[in-house]
Amino acid sequence: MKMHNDNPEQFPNPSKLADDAVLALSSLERGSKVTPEVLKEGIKLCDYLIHLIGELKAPQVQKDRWTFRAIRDDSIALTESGIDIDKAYEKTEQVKKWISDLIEDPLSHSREEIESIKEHLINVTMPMWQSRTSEFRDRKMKRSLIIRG
Amino acid sequence: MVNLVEKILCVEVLEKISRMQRFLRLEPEIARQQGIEVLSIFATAIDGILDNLNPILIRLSEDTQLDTWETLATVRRLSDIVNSVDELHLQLQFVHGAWVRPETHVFVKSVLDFIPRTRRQEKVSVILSNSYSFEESDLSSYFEYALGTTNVRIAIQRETPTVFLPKIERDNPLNWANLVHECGHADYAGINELFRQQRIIPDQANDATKNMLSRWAEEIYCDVFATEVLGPAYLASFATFALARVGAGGAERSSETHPADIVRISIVRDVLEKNDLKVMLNDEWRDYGDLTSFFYNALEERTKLDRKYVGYARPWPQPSFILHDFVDAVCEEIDQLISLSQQLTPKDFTRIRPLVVKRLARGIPISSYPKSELQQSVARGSLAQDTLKFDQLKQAVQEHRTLLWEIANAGWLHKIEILYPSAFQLFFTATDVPLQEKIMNWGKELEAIDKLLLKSIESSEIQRLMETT
Repeated sequence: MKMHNDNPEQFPNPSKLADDAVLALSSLERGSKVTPEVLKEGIKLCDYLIHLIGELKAPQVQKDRWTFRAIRDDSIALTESGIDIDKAYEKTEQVKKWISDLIEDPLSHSREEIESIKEHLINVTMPMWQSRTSEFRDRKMKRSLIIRG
Repeated sequence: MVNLVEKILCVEVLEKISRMQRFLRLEPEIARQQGIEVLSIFATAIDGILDNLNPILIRLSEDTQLDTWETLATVRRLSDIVNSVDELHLQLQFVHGAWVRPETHVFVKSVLDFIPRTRRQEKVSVILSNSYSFEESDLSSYFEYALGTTNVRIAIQRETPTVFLPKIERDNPLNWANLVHECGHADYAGINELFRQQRIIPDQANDATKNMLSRWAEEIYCDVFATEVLGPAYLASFATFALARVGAGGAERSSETHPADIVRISIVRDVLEKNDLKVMLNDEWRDYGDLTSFFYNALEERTKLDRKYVGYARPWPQPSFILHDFVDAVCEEIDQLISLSQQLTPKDFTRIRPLVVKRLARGIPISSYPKSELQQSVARGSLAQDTLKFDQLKQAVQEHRTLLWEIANAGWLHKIEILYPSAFQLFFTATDVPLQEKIMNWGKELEAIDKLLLKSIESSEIQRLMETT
């Protein structure tokens, strides 16, 4: 039987993880109770980003076909965005630490610090999201070269 | 109202999901029994999409303004969810489905009547499409092309203009408004005449640009056509479609085949303003102006957000000409050429609110409206006393037939003023009711208004047939 969902290319989805984390952090700011699981997704995202940006800084590990493709597409998107790789790496490490703190103690960081976490998560994942969305749109657009929309 | 654009976008997504659920229920009984597993996969997929939507609905239920980063997170998620519905729509190829409604053919026929007889197509076919796109093609030449790619040449040698309606929009006359644009593509004679006007394509453009500009000119022609046929209802329908696609700079991004959505909607708005075709919203929505401003501003607000925060990392071909000059030249030519056989006037629009919208709100089909002057005469008794005026009396009690564009505009007004508030109440109020149950209730409400509009189209057509025979 042919399975269609057995490649890790679909994992992770950086913008989804970031969006969920941002919504959860905003709830935290408003004083609402947030389940740690959602914030742990933010940690998962940071791990992926650290790995991804780390690879951009110094390519090392040989990856299997699917992982390579997923990382390659996100890497290209990040590189083309003109984002400062070194600064993004540092900030992601800091954000990971701060989210861990917030899981332990929701009051461990100031409102300004939480805002800067949200800003970073959205900004750093925007090029990857945009790249995936554009790819989807381009696929659709090809059809309208034949059939007028 | 806080977070209005995000709420509208959410409700539009929920409506698409609800319509997909309804389309799946249209599966014939025998096919349902045999394809129960297939249908259950769709149901599970829809539940999964709703699970993704739920955190956003919960956040919007709080009714406090989203901050910038929350707004970006929300619209990104909504954009992804729209794409997932789009993708799932494509999989409707695996179900048996249903045929096109007769009301859709009546709708398309009424649109064609706007094209002068000398250049009108006898018939434009309608096909329900797996792709969530409103499209037009000459089906004969498409078949020739499709088989040609296999090195088998066939020659059908006839024109078969055909418009494609997404399956889930089968019962939704409000979004048939987009089909009017597609019918514009079938005005082959009008479009060919436009292409003969040499000044619209700059001489210095290379072949690829000339080809692209020709396509754009045709799209603008069809937008102006649809606006002149339907008025603000076309803008409403197109804007909600564009709003769903707006993410990642989508609204400002042109393609080989289409100018950017924001450019197109600005042209539509200009045509409406120039002809003073306006439908005002009721007092509760007074701050948002009229039907056109309501949707135009919603799209513009979303586009601004994209412009400010979404860097356009991946470049796309930027045409080397001045867009303004091109659009102005095309619109000027279209003004001269389009000459439809019927013309909407501002006076026509004055009867929509008092007569049509009120009836719709009471659950009465809007296939006709009273002839107020004659009815007043009847009430005064001045006509009844004079037997010679019997014909006038007969005419007075027989109401005017409501036209297609009146049904569409009244429907859109009803959607903003009645359906949106009802959906906001249902989806953005924190309760223990599961989302699956809420969407089921919302589906019933949508089905009721669809039935009213469809009945209106049917009854109006019956009256037309009676008047002409």
